[in-house]
Amino acid sequence: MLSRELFWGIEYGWMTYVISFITTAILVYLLYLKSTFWRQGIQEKVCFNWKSLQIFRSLSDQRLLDDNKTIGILHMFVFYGFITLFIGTILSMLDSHFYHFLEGDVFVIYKIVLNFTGLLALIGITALFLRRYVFKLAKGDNNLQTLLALLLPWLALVTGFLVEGSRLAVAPSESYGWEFWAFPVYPIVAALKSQTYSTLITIHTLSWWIHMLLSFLTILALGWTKLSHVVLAPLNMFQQVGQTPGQLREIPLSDEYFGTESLSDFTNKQLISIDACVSANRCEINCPAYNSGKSLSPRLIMEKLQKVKNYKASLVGDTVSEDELWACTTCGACQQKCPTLTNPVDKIIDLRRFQVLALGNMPQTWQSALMSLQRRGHPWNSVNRSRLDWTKGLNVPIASQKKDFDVLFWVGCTGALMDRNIQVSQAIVKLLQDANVNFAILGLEENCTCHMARRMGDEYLYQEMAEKNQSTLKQYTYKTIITACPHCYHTLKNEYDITNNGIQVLSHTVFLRELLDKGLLNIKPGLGKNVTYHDPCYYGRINGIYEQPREICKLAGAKLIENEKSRDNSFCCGGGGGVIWSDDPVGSRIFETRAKQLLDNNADLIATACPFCITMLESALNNLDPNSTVKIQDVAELLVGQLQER
Amino acid sequence: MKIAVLLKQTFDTEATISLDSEGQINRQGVNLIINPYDEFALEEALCLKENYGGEVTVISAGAPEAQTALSQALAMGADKAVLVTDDALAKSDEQAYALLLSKHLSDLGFDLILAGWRAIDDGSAQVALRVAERLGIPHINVVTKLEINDGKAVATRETEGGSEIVEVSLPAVITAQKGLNEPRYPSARGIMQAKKKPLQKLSLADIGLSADQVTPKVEIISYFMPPTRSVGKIIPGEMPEAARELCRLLREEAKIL
Amino acid sequence: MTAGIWIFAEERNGKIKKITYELLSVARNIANQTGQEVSAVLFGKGVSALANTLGQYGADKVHVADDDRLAQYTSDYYGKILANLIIENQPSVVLLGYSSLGRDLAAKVAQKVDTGLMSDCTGVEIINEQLIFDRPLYGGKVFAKTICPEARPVMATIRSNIFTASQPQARYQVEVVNVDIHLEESDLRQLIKSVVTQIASRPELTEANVIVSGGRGMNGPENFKMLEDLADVLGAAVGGSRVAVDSGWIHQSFQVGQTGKTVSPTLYIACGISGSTMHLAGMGSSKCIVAINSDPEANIFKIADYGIIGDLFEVIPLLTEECKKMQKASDSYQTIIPVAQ
Repeated sequence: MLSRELFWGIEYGWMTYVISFITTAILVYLLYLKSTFWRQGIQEKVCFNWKSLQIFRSLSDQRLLDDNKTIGILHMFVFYGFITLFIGTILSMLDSHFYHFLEGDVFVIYKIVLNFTGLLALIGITALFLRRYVFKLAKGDNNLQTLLALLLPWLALVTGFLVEGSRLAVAPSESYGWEFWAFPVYPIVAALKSQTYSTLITIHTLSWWIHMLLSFLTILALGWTKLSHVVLAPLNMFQQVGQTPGQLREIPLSDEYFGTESLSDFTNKQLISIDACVSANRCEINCPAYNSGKSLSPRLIMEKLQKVKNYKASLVGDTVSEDELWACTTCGACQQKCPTLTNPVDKIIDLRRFQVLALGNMPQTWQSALMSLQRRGHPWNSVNRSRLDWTKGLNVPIASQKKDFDVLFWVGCTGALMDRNIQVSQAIVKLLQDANVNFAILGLEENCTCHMARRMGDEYLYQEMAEKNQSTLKQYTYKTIITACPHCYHTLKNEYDITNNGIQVLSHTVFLRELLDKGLLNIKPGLGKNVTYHDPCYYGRINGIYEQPREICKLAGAKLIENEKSRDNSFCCGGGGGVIWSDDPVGSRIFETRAKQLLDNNADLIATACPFCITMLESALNNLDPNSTVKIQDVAELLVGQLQER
Repeated sequence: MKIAVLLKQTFDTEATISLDSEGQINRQGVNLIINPYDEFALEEALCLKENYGGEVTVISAGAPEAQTALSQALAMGADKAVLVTDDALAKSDEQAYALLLSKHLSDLGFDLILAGWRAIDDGSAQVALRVAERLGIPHINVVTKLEINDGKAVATRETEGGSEIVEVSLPAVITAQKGLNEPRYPSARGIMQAKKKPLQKLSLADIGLSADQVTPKVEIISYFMPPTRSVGKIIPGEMPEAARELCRLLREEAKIL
Repeated sequence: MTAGIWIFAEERNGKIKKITYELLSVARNIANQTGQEVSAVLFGKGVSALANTLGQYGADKVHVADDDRLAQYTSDYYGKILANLIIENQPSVVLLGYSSLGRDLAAKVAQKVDTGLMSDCTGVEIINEQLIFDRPLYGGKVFAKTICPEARPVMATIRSNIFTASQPQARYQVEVVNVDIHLEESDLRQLIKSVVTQIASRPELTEANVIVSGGRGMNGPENFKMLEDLADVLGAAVGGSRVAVDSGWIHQSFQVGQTGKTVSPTLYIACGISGSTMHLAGMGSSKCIVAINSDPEANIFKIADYGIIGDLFEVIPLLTEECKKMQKASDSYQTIIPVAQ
């Protein structure tokens, strides 16, 4: 029967077990050393969930494939190749010591699979090596660790084929139809066939020991080189359980803790996450700051943090520059694309927190926005209106007077105070009134949700304001909160503590879609224009609302043209994370980068659903082409334009 | 260096002002802030403390609400705060405030006294200078740059049509103008530390003054709103014509040109 | 009230500043109603010759302190002399301008003579022998009527460009009193190390009759040249809104607004300025406001006396042309306030 003898032709084969024991011990020690990086952070409970591992594993592959199919496929070759070979080794061990089943046809299939996947792995690694060292397309440092991560497994594979080839050249009993199942080694066998028996044995023995050494070195590499992502990525995925996009860490404020000054101020979960970065560089693809020439690259930040040796050293200024720190719009595009599920955003915000809360350090223009928030409850420094001025002549019910209503319309600071955005609030009111919705607004009782302030780093101001708002919201009874600002939406829904009373927070797009569904709005689909919809980050990528705004456009009579970067692949307008208040002298402007992308569709109208997107995109359009006839509108404005007289 | 900063709490610059039924200024719902010019003075004091060491005391006289302004000053980095509050101060004028402030200041002794050059509510621009006169120390007014060397203050002072560089010996009163510095943000850490810093509330008796010593010399007898300007003319027409028409109106109707 | 209405005359480089004439006409008004004399106080070096001019604009008497040590204003020297003068002569009213010098001097002297001081006054009336001054509060959003019922002298600083100087009249020789100057070196505690004067061919912003001002609509520093051309034709000062300053288009010293300078010219031409409350606080008391803005909804149109909705890059040059034509045609400008000698 066709099969293979364990340790064929090798004396002292049992040394394998000794060496594997030693290797495991060393590997454990190396991982222990690695874990010191994570363990000097603040303790946070790490809970494991096998199910999420499964989900995230497939997510990871998907993300690798999404933006660079070639690399995705090559990585799958390597990944699945090695997994298969590993399983193969285990099966071989079971076969030798417990129950012999690898014989005959089973053995043939076994060998076909292993040889084929081994070849794929070899092709994969070779291609990745060429990509990095010859074509110079890969990011991340080209140091010894990176080199070994490629070289060791590659050499292990090559020597493995050499072992097999030289064995087959000597022991023809195994070679029943070997040409069939051993095709990768065919050239090796053919080349060796002419050698003498003793030469072949020497080659076999040498390559066997070298192969074994290399294999164990490769295993050790899991603790020391870039290959450690094999351990770290799943570990990181485990502890992401329960993390939703855009989620920030709650920090209890005290006299002593104000966010992250040094590495030891991160939590251990965050440090695992930082360590899991392999410089895959998917994050840069859609990063609005990076793509507008700013110095911020999420990958670079993670790399820099990984290299910090002094856990107590201050990070901002030395490791992370202020330019990088303040450039992040918190859009989450990096988080969404990362194959190891590293999340740069919450690290950046923790760094901002220390700067703002402990040092009062922030870009000068942000200070006026935050001071305005402190004094007036809204960030629009130069505005001199009250939150009710926009309602003049519209008969908008105020909660404190109406008392009994179903829907609370959370207007937001921008929607109540900024000229352009007031038009959207007015459009929504008209729609709500047309549909006879029993709604009210908080009016003067409303304060900023402080979504922006939180992401700018002022956690203290956020917590104070949140408390105020939550107690105001508790005073009234209603079923639904709707808002036209994705930032307010995200914070009200995910960060405030109000949904436990059965209150649901809805995006205005979802609510309007529902009204249309129920036939409550008298709309005629008369728009007849080409419309490109720009997905706001906090509705789209972070909270998964894609279809309703598009359906609203269609129902208004628009012909939708999808932008290349849409849905979760949308490109941020540059308004989030406080960046709307930035001076923006470096590089080009994010909003212009995005506007150019949208203008490529040549639509008559750019629709969106966020007051900041509207502000930024209109600015951009004004800068790029003041004579442009392209309009930018909220979907509510589109809809109200098609409202018919009853 | 012992530095004192005179601070006033005023209405927010964006506040809408109205008169109530009794013709008094409505204080309902108005945000109260540190007088912006006093913030420049405070920031300067904090910078000097960082450079030369010492202690910064903020002093305010007025309504009890001024406590929040003083807390904010402590959060920005001042070491001590004093609020002189008393019912008798309700109608006080600039010279009464100057009296009580200088009394308290002379009791404590300071090397440098900083204040905003005016308050945005009444725009008097008097109190700091009166304090200097009372204490018999020199002053430099409306300062956009300040250096302290060897017991002397050298300041750039704004004048009409230019500026001058003036030197005085300490102790002195310096009043701050916009452009002197950029006031820092009161950080959360500062706010928490401020809770532990001393904030003294004193009545007139506490500083050794009686109510009749602070009777005002100047009184406000009534308030009135400025006349709302009537909506003017939009000059219609195409460009050269409209410009011509404007000139004509300015000459013949408004009689200006 | 018989002891006299005094005003502090300001001069610069041998010329009397416009505010002085305005003060004289206010003083004259009060004096006529109360049967008192108007005296001017004039300090400086080589200024005696200006006494007559002060007489032409309404002074009955001029107290002159002419001394080398008074060439440059110092609050110590000026303050000591003025305070002593007041204590000796006991005038009933002392008026100064709410100018850089006036503010500095008035507060010090008011404290020295232990009286009240009403700052930045924009109106004066006499009711039942009581002098009532109008003072703007909160950037001019509300006004207060203030009195100084008992303390004497009644002191007030008056805002520029509010009151109109009267026409000069040739008079009999004005009485000049030379002040005994008792100054010790130890009196002077301020050392003036250097003086920087902006060489301005244009009037100073707070003193100008006409101001041409630019805001957001200017779109850049180079476009202010256009405003300067118009200002040259009109003999105006150039100013700007906070946006223009923050954008780095003009220097902060030209900012008109709540956090900049308060101006009340006869004519204020606002170009590309939206008219925020903060800006209005600085120029709202201008006698005539002209607004040029492409946005018909701009706030400035609500307070402008005349407005043109249009592209300022078109309007301003045309306006400049028209003004030049008018100037040629009439050979001079008749402004309400005569240009000071």
